[in-house]
Amino acid sequence: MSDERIMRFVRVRTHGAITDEEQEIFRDGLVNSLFVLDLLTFVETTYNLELDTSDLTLENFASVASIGRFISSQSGKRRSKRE
Amino acid sequence: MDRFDSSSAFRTNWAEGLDSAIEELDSERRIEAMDLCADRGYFGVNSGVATGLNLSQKQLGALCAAIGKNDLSLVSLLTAHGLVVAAIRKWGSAQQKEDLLPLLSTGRLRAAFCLSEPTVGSDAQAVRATLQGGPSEYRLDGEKSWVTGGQIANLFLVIARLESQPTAILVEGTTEGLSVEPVAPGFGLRGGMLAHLSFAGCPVESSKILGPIGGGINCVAMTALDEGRFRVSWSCLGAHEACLEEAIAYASQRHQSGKRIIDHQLVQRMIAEMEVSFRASHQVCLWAAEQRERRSVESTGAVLIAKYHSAKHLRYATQLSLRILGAHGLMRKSRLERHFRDAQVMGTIEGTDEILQLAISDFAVRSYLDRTSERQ
Repeated sequence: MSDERIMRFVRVRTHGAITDEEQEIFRDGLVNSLFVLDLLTFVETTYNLELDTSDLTLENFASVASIGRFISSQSGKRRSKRE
Repeated sequence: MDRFDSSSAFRTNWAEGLDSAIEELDSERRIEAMDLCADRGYFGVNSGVATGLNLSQKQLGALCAAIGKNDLSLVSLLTAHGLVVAAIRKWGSAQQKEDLLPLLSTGRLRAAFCLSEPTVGSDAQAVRATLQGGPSEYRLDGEKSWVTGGQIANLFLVIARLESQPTAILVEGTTEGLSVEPVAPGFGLRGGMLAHLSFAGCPVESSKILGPIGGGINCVAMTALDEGRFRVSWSCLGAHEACLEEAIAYASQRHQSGKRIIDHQLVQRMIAEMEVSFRASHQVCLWAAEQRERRSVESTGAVLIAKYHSAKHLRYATQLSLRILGAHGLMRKSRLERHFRDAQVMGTIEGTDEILQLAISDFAVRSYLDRTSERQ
């Protein structure tokens, strides 16, 4: 179910180009330069996470499937009260 | 009552004491003006630390509008600093934030953003400056152009290629090999204290890298530009209000052909155009502020639209108001004449109108897809 929200977000952002959860998101031209910021906002607000720089690897965000796996691995780290 | 003020807890005139445009001042009085801003906490409006003013998005907008109303150069100097603060706040390590945010918030450290180069503007991905060596220390080589506030900054956020990947790094002004060349004032933003920078083998520790390696554009620069665009949108709104007010005030007391010129219909049409576009810009700036406050996924799109709309309509408003003021408006040292020139710059910095059109179209398409897929 969480995968479906991620899939929807990525599918809309890529104007329908990404339809399979293993497809590489960051192939040439599929996403614009604002995508990373918006993806982070989506992940942080939808799943109540606070990410840091070390989380932002291509491995974690390359595809819808890898994003889903990354989010599951963060389930213990809820966001603490923001400054 | 200041229409932009969204909280009675803050001064209703953010720009009190900042009556002279920074482009008209000598360097000593420019320093005084910047120090006045620092004393008021204007360098810390988004720092997130106790020593900063820490405004909400609407209050930040109100501040930018109040200062931009008289002086787009001064507000741009604060914006240049603020966008580096935004980048550090989002991408900084705990140590970087602890070391830098308090000093940035009080203006002890004054920051500037170095992305553009002599051959690199809208195509930011093509940056040519390089970081070589590593892993504990790098050598920075290259040139950066059009750095707003470059003449007075002591901390630079530079985007350079590290193993061919654009990466952000923080460089102190005292770094060996760094030279700052003031740009002679041009057509607009004459008070922007712009500089060209050159880096000749500058030693920079790897602890000064900001954000992920390879994230110089897609993470760090985008955060900085988003903050910058938001502030530019409200700054242009303030200047737009100045155009409207000056045009109405002048037209109400200037008589030609037996009546006040404000009673001539063609003048009324011009005032109507300025009023309508002002109201629309205000709404879209408020929308952007609200999206940012809520951390909505739409916030970057809202900011693009606010900046595009506000800057474009300011440009037109400066023309209309100059038409109404006739010869008086075209005199040197008039506020409108300054806004007319600075408005040209507002459509080029932080994303040209053309680049924003592309990004806004993308936003429009995905908003459409989002809405239509929900209906299924």
